[in-house]
Amino acid sequence: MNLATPPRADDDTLMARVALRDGEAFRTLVEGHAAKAHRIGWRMLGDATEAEDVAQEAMLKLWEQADKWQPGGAGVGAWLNRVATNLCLDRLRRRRFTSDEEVPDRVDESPLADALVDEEAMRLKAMMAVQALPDRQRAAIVLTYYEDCSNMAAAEILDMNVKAFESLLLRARQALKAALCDLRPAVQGGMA
Amino acid sequence: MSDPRQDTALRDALDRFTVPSLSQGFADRVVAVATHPEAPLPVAVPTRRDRRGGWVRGHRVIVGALAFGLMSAAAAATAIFGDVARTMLVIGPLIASIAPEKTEPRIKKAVTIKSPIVSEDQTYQAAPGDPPSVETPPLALEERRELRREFVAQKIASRLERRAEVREELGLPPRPVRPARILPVLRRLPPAERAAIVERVREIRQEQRAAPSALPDREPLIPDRGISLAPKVDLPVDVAGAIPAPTSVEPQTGDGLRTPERLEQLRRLRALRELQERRRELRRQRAQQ
Repeated sequence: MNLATPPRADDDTLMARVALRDGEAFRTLVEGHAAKAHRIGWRMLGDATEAEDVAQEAMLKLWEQADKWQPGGAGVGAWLNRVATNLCLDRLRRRRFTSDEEVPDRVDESPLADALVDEEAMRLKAMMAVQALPDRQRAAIVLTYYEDCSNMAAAEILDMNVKAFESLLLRARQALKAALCDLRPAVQGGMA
Repeated sequence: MSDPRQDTALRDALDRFTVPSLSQGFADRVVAVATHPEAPLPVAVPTRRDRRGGWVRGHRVIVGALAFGLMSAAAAATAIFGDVARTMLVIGPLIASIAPEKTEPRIKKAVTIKSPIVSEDQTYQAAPGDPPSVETPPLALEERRELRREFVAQKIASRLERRAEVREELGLPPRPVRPARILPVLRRLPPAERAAIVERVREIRQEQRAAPSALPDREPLIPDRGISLAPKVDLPVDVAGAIPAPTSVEPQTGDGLRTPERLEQLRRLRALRELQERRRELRRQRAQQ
């Protein structure tokens, strides 16, 4: 997971320009960081449209709050991790209250899914395994594995202490392993 | 528990969860939204319904007021709220002009007929010889009482008479009468009525003795005790002592007639006692109130 992010010094400079309502500076930030917010949104919500909405909303927040930017901080990427994750959790919370659809709590075990061994099926299965996790466990996996956040940074994003976050991450891994146990032989078989 | 980044199988599985790239022009759209915020929405043109809103609201208010007035008038006419509706500003006069004034049935005071305090004069007025006045209800009541007194007196007199006859036939000496059956009846009566009955008994007895021709066969049976028989036989000592002394009765002692002075004294004394009794009764009533 090599995520190209601009240096923090550049972030501070760009944010200073954005605070002065420089559109070009903002475009640079969007082009450099919007994908991160989009990834988080996609992996947390599992929906392309909602992921783009999350990314757009996060970037617009960056634009609106540019004048409050404190230089020398963790950078725009870390800020976006926090904002995008919280936006996703908010959407998931609202979805739970507004949608009648039950949140799947485990991977689809239909025979058809087992039969599909092509790459797309494997991707879908992995996606469903992640989507089947509880919201905060999913956020822990997304932040630590996909976004390369340290445990401390992820715990800070989720407003948790490190110990509690590690416990949460452990439960998330166990759930993922249980969900993907039938996927591994296939993966290994496919690789073999 | 292994780290997914170190667990190759898990890492491979998770790596398959790829993310599609952002749509084309995403950055342009975000920058455009940020740098050119949406213009405020145009002022909503009031629709026809909105333009009519004032009249519609006024119409509703008028209809509501009319409906309320009709409902309250109907409720008042049917006296659902009692007299409250009659006190309202507009509806009250309307109801008063339409509906007649409700006349509440007056609660009649219970007529308490006090037992007449019979004085000597009243006792005289209530004598059977006088025609009873029937103009007012108390007089009718008095008439009924008079009839009852007459009946009781007749009965007592006839019983005493029969008793004397029986003793005479048996050759027994006349003895003071102990009317055990009569005394309880007399005790239940008011003093004035009791006095009137005793007086009437005496009169009957005297009349019977004064008219020997009417009772030729009875006259010899009546013992001659050398004195006026009437009071001595008819109102013996036991009777006179057992019942409260009537005002109009001449009490008798066992040894003969009393002098007029003594009778006058006794009468005053009894009048005084009755007066005291009445005062006591008044005091008791005041204390109860």
